[in-house]
Amino acid sequence: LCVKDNRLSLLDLDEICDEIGINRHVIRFTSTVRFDDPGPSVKTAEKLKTLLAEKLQGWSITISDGNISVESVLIKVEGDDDSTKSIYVSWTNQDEDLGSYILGLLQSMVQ
Amino acid sequence: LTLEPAAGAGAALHWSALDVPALVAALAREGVGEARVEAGADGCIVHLPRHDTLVHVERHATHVFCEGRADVRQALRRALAACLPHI
Repeated sequence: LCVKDNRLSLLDLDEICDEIGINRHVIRFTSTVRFDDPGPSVKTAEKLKTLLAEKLQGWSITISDGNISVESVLIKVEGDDDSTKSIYVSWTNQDEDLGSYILGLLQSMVQ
Repeated sequence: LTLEPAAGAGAALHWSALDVPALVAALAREGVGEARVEAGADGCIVHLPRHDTLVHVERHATHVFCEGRADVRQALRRALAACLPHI
């Protein structure tokens, strides 16, 4: 929240950096979880979205082309239909709590 | 167990470029040693073989690829915070 042109404005982090003239340094973490789930990777992604929607009530969860997004957390499923899937979980440093929670959830799911 | 959306802001906002030798020193102080630095076309890669971790450093971005161990990730976060200006 900042005062801009004598008005209160709500800016995101990139807009704040532009306003004060600094180059933001974005830190992102990515970890991989292996999941033995035969079938198309899009189906695996849909299962994951259902699980996340159950655990993250109140959060906006979107899915597009099998990629799931929650804030800056991106979840991507890759793998052939008949093989183990690789689930890539990626998040920015600002979303560490959310990213590590989702990673922990997926790690416990596959154990 | 469920996670509620937080009311406040998240972690620090970092800016500027990362000082890679300072990062390697900060990682060693955190007990994450044996770093190997390889120069690349658009930055460098810090390889931490003992922790199965790669840190891809560019001028305005750092991407950490790690195997999901929370203790290693938290050590990396502290080391990165020690080497980048932030609020």
